[in-house]
Amino acid sequence: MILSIRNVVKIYELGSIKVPALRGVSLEVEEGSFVSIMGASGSGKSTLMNIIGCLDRPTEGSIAIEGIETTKMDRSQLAYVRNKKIGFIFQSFNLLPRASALANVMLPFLYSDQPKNQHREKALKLLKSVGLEDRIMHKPNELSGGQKQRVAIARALVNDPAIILADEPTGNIDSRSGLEIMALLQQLNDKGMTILMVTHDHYIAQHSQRIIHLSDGRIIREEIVKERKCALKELEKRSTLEREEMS
Amino acid sequence: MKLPEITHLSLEGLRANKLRSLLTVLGVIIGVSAIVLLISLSLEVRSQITGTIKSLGSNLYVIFPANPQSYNVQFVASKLRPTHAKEITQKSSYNVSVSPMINKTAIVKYGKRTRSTTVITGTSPNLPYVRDWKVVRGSFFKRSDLASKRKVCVIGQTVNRDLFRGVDAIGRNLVVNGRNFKVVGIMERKGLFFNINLDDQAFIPITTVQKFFNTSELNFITVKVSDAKHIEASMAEARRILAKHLDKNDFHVQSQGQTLDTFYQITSILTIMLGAIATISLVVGGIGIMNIMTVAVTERTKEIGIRKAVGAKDSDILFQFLAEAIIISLLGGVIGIAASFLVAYFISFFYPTFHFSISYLAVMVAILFAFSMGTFFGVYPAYKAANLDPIIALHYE
Repeated sequence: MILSIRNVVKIYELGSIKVPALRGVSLEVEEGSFVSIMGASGSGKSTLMNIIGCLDRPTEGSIAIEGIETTKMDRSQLAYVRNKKIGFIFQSFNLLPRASALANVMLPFLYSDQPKNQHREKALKLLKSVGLEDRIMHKPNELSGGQKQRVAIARALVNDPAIILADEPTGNIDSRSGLEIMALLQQLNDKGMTILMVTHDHYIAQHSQRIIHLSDGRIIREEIVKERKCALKELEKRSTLEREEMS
Repeated sequence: MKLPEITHLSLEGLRANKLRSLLTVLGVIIGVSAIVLLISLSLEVRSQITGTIKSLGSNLYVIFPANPQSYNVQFVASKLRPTHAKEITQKSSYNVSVSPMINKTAIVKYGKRTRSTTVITGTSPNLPYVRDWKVVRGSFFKRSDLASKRKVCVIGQTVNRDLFRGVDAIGRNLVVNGRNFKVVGIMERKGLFFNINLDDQAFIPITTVQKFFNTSELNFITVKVSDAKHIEASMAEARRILAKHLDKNDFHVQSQGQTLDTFYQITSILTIMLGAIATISLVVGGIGIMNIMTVAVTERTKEIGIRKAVGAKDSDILFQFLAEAIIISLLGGVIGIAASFLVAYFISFFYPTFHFSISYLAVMVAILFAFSMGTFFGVYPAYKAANLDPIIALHYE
């Protein structure tokens, strides 16, 4: 099991008021699977994502990534896990505005102790694989939303993580670019990458294999996607439709 | 993260806000150059004073006509007499040379040229030895001149230049208060002793001065001890000899070393005061650094969140921001030192007589100060940055 979550509770303390965000969530994610977490805003899906991503700690419960317990780690051990084991993709991209696409992709290397010699080649290869080989020196403000998210995907992959955590990856981009991002994620998953994605869009969630429905901090339903959508085919369909409309 | 990477990151951060960084650096530049210049200046003043006091001669002590702690020396009639000087010479158990002195001002003339500031010094023939002061032309007056109260004189460089103007003064007559004194020698240039021009002086046998100025009150007695080890003992002995004839408040024996110590104390206070004033300006510069770093941390909260999300440890963030503060202060330090060398160059260019040079001690102090200040004022903002919660930082807009 690449990720196992047991009985995770998260309570935020706002002064004297205790606000429960997660009320005992247990979940297992197998290696190579593509799982979506769905829920309305306030359902606790972002909190769960932050806790899995070692950005936050649970109040109770335990989390293990590749069998290694992260709940009792100190801050610098958590930083190490974020650097080596987790690749983040955020709704708002979270790229450094002053750095080029290449520098953004290489950012995680700065905080890892790997030998330096192949960093640049690896980053260039990843940028090429997301179709940005002619944009490597562009700053984020010179890129479209879809392109920014592709830079973020390349950055997420640079340290060969155990799992990709995508928090509403298509939330800030147009639907066509969103489909392109989904196509990239599906390709990655086909190559064996484990992906956990938070979304509130059922159409997007249908590109994954399994959907977990969250409400009020609890898992209320799990659904295996029967007719999984293929983003590449969806894109082709759209193109054909557009061409027909044009003529 | 390694040092070159940290430095690179910090420089990037500084470059992002060029004007702001520049103004902060300017604050440090002013502080550092103030420290370097003011410390150098006071050290220079000290070394010039030391040089001046040492230029009086070596292994000396001086007997003044009154105890400075009892009277205002200038307004007291001297009770020191040439006989006291003679007695010290005769009774001393050490090898000493004693030179009594009477200083008078007089109108001196040669031809149509007149000087009214020249000091007439009545003294003994051993003065060039006692004061390490060479005669460059002719010779000093002799024991026989003293015995016969001859009207001979040895003139300083200023008198020679202003009155004789290129004419060879040796053998010519200098008119002192209407009387002719034959010039037998010219002293080498000695320069200023504080604000007194030692070269505006004419030396005359002390007996001649006693006769024509009708006074035997000595202004001081200078004693040179041939062996520096015996200065203290010789001073004690001179005190005992004088005490037989004079009240203890009517004379004061002080060695050159004591005079130097007094001036050292004064100049040390000067150095500390000037240093403290300069330090204030550097501290103000440091507060500027802290201010800018605090702003930078707030502005870059999101950046810190992103860095943490991709694996930056607290220490990585700490060093990144600390390095920025240190780079600002070191940059300011280096430019400030360069600026003070430039100022020193201009000072010596426009005032060549004032040999102003930058003290390397001051440079070291300034660099050390700048570095520790950057660290001190950079630590808090850097610590604040390092301890940001990654989620809060990531969602900061």
